[in-house]
Amino acid sequence: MKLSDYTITVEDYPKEGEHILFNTRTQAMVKIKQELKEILSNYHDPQKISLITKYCNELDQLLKMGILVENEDQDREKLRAFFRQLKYGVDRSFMHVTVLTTDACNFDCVYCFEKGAREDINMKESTCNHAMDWIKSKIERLGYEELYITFYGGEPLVNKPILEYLASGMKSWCDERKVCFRFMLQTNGYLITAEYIEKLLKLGLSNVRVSVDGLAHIHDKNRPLKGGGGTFYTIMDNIVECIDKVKISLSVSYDKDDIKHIEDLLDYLEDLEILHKLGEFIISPIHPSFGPKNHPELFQQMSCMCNYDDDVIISAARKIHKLMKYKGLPVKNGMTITACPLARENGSVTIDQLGDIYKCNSMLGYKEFSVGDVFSDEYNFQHQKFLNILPWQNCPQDCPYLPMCSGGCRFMAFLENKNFYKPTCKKRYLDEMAPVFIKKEYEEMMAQKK
Amino acid sequence: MEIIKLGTEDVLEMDVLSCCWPPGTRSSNAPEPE
Repeated sequence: MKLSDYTITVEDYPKEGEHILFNTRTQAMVKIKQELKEILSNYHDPQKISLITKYCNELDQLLKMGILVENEDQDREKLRAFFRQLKYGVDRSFMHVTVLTTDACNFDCVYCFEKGAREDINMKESTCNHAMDWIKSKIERLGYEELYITFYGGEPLVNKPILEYLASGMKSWCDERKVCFRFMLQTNGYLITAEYIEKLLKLGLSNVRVSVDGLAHIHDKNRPLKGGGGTFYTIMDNIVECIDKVKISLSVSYDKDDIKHIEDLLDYLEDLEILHKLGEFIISPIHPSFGPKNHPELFQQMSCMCNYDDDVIISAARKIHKLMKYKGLPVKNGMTITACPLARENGSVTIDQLGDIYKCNSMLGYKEFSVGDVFSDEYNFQHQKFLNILPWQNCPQDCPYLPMCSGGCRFMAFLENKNFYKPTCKKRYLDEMAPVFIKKEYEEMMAQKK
Repeated sequence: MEIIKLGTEDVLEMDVLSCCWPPGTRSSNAPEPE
């Protein structure tokens, strides 16, 4: 018997002589005392036999939770089974589809990842009908219990008629079949009004996510109106108007390890008395984007976070964690399993305004990376090509984070290597951040128990 | 020993995120629990 290679130990926490064990494959977490830790670190020491007898129930439980394994072979076999299920399994509890009602936008964001591919085209009603049929066919074939749509763009509210047509069509169809239906609006927030939110609530709107980049002087520079002009104060007015009608979350990006703009934004929201009315905060680094059509390898935003060294990324993550904790706000970054959707047969998909289907939003508009379209029930060869990529096989098999990252983001692999095959490693980041995330999760679990 | 989270062998019971950079980060279009 041995500790699984995917078990991480946070020593002397929450108290000296107490230790947290967390398994990245099963997501199990326990707190143990020093005596048990000593047994686990040297299980085959003959002098420990009497203690092993004393702790046999605990050891049996740890084995069931995957924190302990019989031997290395079993650890690897369980990992392979885990990846098989991740790749081919169907989570019937819900189907997630992102729909671009348009790729047009009323903003002209400096870092927009769709810029290189944008054609300002709205989804047509005929394409929308095919999209609905495609979604219905998947629900019927795979037996999903819930349909969750994220309306995305461009700016989804630039094409309201199609948004309403699709939401209303899917709601009626789902209601008739007792399939739960809800949708999220990922918007720049400029066009939302209380009246319109009320209309969408009747069609199944569950939450709204608004992208904000900081206070006006930063936000308006990064996210101006097309043709020029600030957007910050209109968005804030709209959020205040709608906050009591629907759950609104904010999506905030950052660059390097400077998060002063996030701190200032949170203070501003606190002054407006809406900070704690808001839902989840999605705080993520600015990503690069593919180059012009036919030349995706000519990446844009090369000064993005992913090109900085790990120290900068770690410094930013620590600052964000500290800030959110200080403000008493939830942030979901942590030890959760993150699987690249390209490598999952039945993962979430994005349908663009032309009806092309993508598995990664960073690839939107680059048809060579599309995995099919809504005019056919079958995926194309690219889908299988992506599925055949197994980057985790090229990682050190005893890396404790392997179940969490599966060898990393394929888009980043393309950025680094001009192909999708090599792993992208963030072990140094996780070595630094895992204890922070595990402690956060422990505190949240304990608070829930109380 | 205190069990904080039981965990599971079944991946489909887990909250699996679909954005991987850095690992553990939720993507901007990811669904939110009700």
